[in-house]
Amino acid sequence: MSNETSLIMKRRFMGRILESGLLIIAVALGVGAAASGLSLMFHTKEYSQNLLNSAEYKEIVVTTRANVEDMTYPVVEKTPNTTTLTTADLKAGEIIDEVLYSYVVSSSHIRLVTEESTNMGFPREGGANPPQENANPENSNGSSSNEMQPGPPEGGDNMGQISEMLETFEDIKENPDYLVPEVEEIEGVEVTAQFFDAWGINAQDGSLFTSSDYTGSSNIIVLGSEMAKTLNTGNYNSVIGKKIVAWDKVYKVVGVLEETGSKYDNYYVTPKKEVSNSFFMRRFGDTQLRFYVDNVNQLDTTATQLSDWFTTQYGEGQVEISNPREEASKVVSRNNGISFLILFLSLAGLFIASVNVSNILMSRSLRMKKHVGILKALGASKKNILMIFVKEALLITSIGSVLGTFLALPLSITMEESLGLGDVSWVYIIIGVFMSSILTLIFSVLPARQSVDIEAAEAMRSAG
Amino acid sequence: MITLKNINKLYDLGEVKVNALKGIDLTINRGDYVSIMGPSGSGKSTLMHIMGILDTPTSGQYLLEDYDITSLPDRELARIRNKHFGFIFQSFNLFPELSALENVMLPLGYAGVTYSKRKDRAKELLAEVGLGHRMQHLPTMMSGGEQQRVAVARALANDPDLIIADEPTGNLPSDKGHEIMDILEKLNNKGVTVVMVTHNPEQGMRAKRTINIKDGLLHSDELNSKGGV
Ligand SMILES: Nc1ncnc2c1ncn2[C@@H]1O[C@H](COP(=O)(O)OP(=O)(O)OP(=O)(O)O)[C@@H](O)[C@H]1O
Ligand SMILES: [Mg+2]
Repeated sequence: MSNETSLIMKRRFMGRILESGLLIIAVALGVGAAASGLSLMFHTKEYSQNLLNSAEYKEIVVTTRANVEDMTYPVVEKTPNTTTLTTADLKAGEIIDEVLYSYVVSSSHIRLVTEESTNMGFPREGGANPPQENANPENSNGSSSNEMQPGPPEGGDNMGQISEMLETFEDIKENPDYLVPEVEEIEGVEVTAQFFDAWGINAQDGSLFTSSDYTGSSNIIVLGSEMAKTLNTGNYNSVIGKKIVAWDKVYKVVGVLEETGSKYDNYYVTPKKEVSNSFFMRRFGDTQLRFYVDNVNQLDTTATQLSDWFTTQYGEGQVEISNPREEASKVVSRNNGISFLILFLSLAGLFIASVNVSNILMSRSLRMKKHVGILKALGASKKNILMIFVKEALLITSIGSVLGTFLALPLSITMEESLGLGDVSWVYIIIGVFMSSILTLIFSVLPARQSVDIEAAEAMRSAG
Repeated sequence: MITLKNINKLYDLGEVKVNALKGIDLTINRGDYVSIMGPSGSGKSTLMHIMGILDTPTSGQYLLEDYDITSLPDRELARIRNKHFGFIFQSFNLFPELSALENVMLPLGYAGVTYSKRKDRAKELLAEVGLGHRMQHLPTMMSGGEQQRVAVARALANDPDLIIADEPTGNLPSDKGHEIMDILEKLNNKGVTVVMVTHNPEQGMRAKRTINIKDGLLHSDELNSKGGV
């Protein structure tokens, strides 16, 4: 195309800056609305899918009444409740066909020995023992995971422990066998073996637990992918085999989990020891038996069957059985409903904006009729003429789309935050902008096709 | 150069059908200087548009150098208009957004001439029509005579073989009209074929050949004795 033709278009564009500006604003509003609507829908879809595919929502959770109360009021002892669940109760899962995996999970945390904590001195409350490898299972079992655990640390005089601790820290600081943490405390879970099967989690480095780990006395630990990074302050190639010093024992890292996108990325996992000790369930604030059902349609039946099983075992109303998926499904369908409504409204907005843009561009190109005739007489082909209008439409839609993107961002942030979808995804906004720009572009190029087909002679006769 | 065979043009307006051209047979030879005359509405402009490939006849044959152009693709037709035809209109038809210089440069752009060469050539052409001092003027800042001279310069940009002029002096006072006629005559003397519609019998007689059209039909086609006033 001739440069002078572009000049005509440029000067017409600038000469009608108000109209051009309105066009751009219309495109920006339409694209902005549609992009955030589309992005919201994509995001909701992805979020729902991840949520409902997650093992967490394919499981029936069994806890004791007492446990439920403990979770809310950790200190207050409620009406005596004699029921205790043990790992032995997992056999309920073996009896019910739909249950693929069953496991026990308890939340726990480990207080680490850090430079800061040793400087501060020995903690005044109990709950901390000097690090001891190969700790006696009787007194070390579970102590890492119990916020409520009362009672003084076992044996030894405090002064001796402090100096021992300081020495120990000086030792491990320089020792490549140890990870020197910068955090005071890490969170994690104790699990029984089938946890890994239910969640389908493998180790990206090292290994998971062997069956003897669940009975033996070794203090081994597997780290979530993010936690492994956090603890690896020495930037070792691998943290496998490194030791972590807690106030009560020393853990040995045997594996790092692959990334799961769940909370477990920031957790550690230790094996739950099978102990006959009948009160082990009572001692932990948050212990659950979880029964994984692959076919989500069977969750309700399974819940009933489990309820029956536990009722026969312990009597009416002794255990709490819950189906987290029900809640999740409610959230999902609510989110879907909202995002579809918003999508509909925003697409309607885009459509209205596009039709108007198309209309204005149509009248713009009709006013160009005489120009088209003269240009054809001077040697412009139909394609040349089409390109003039396509260029103009492209210019308007692209400026509008860029503005629309900046409009879509705060809109998306607000909407996606209010629906609890987590972080706004740029990718979805870009896809949304792209799709709606294409639509606007099609609308704005449509009128151009008409003016191209006008015979030059006819265009010439028109006033203008 | 151009042979039109049995050209018909029918404007179909639904109820009303206007038969603007009713079987025109016409040959324009290289080097011709033809004036086309006839009453208003007789079909002169329609004929010029068809001759300039700005319009398609309803039926009939258009031979350009013995080559039937009706089947040529749009791109080729655009190239012919650009390289071989030069148009001059009664209402000048300059682009109001462009300066005189840019108006003349435009058809050179479609011929693929580079910017600096376009500019040089356009300056040269404007100087030739006596507008060397008006290059940066917009059409609205120029008189009718000046505008038409810019249009002539633009029509000559790509050294056309044929000038198609539809009442080029129709909107001009007679002295300014003479300037345009002089330019056309000079061009014809250099070998450029000129076909011009005019209502002015005096101008018509200055051409080598005069064609009369009445009601869409060729009424007469005569050679003028050279030097006739
Ligand atoms: N687009 C059109 N649709 C319908 N009829 C048309 C159209 N263009 C021209 N005509 C008709 O065709 C006939 C010839 O028109 P044309 O413009 O060729 O006349 P003309 O000889 O150039 O007249 P003038 O001397 O006034 O310019 C006229 O009757 C006109 O009304
Ligand atoms: Mg006419």
